[in-house]
Amino acid sequence: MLFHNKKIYLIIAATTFLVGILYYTWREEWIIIRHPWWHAHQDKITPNAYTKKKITIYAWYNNQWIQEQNDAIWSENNEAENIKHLTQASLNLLFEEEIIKKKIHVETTLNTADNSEFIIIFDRNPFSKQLSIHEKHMIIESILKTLRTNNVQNSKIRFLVNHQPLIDAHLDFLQSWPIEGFL
Amino acid sequence: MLSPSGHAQDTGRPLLDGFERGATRQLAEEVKKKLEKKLSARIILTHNAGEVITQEQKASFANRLNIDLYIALTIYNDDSLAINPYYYKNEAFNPVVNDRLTFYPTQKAYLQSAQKTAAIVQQDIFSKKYLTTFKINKPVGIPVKLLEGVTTSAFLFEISIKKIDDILTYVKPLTHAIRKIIDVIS
Repeated sequence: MLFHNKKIYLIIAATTFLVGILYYTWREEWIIIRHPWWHAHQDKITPNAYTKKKITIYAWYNNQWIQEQNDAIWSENNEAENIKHLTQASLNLLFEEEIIKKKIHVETTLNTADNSEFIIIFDRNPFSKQLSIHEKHMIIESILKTLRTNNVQNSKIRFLVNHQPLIDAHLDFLQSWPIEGFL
Repeated sequence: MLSPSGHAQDTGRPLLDGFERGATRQLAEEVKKKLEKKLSARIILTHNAGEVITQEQKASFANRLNIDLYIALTIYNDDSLAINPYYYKNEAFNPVVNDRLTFYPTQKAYLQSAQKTAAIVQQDIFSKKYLTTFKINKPVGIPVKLLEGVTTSAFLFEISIKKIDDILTYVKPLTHAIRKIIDVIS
């Protein structure tokens, strides 16, 4: 009887040990369990909808619009990502043409909760102190024209630097700018 | 009312020989002198040389005095001479003015004179004879801070200079333009 009980205890101990090891390896993601139904469900939620697209970038240079065609990885369902690509491409062109003197990166682009405006956050102020109002205005118009031409739907854009308002001595960025611009 | 850029704690843009603060003050004083000779109008500067002043204070001063016209002046260095006129606007389309609106936030103050400003913008403010000396751009409506909060018609003239003496060449065209604006609004 005693021997029989010992055997049961051994089986229980070995089973719980094995279950414990399996649970631990699953928790640590050493083994991954994927049910076919769950896999299909996940694919439905996040479809891999990226395409290669030609985008047109604009910059105001020597009193005229210049344009450049670029290839971009275009998301079908993430407009914020597309706006980030377009704004960065526009800033790169402005930097290459020496319209802006500093290399500016787009940190983040966000859509507001009510979808009424897009927020573009730069890593630093794109304007140097010497720039004229005309030059600063046309830098912003270049970005807005690039967004408009590539079918960005939102009507208003707000510009921030490091998650703080973009402070400029001449232009007011405490309010959002219409995507149509002011020209 | 003439508003030169900068104040006691803000020099404005660095120019090749000096700062924007001093250059715009010199220009404003010359324009004031010339206008007072030609017009029977009282010309006021927003602040004295040693004062510290914010745009809100300038706008409040202008609104309390019930002035007829507000002109802001800015200067920058460039290889050519140019005049860029601006007026205040913060919406892409022409705004609908609500007559019953009694409280205006600072950024909507311009709505009170939007129709008058539009009438001025339709005119050629600057005489064509100056086009040989200066590049004169068309007035553009943008959310420009230096005109914010002013309820009467307000314009910003941004001029470019190669050297500090170029300021004096702008006195005549600016005086003519201001007189033309006064003719339209009166």
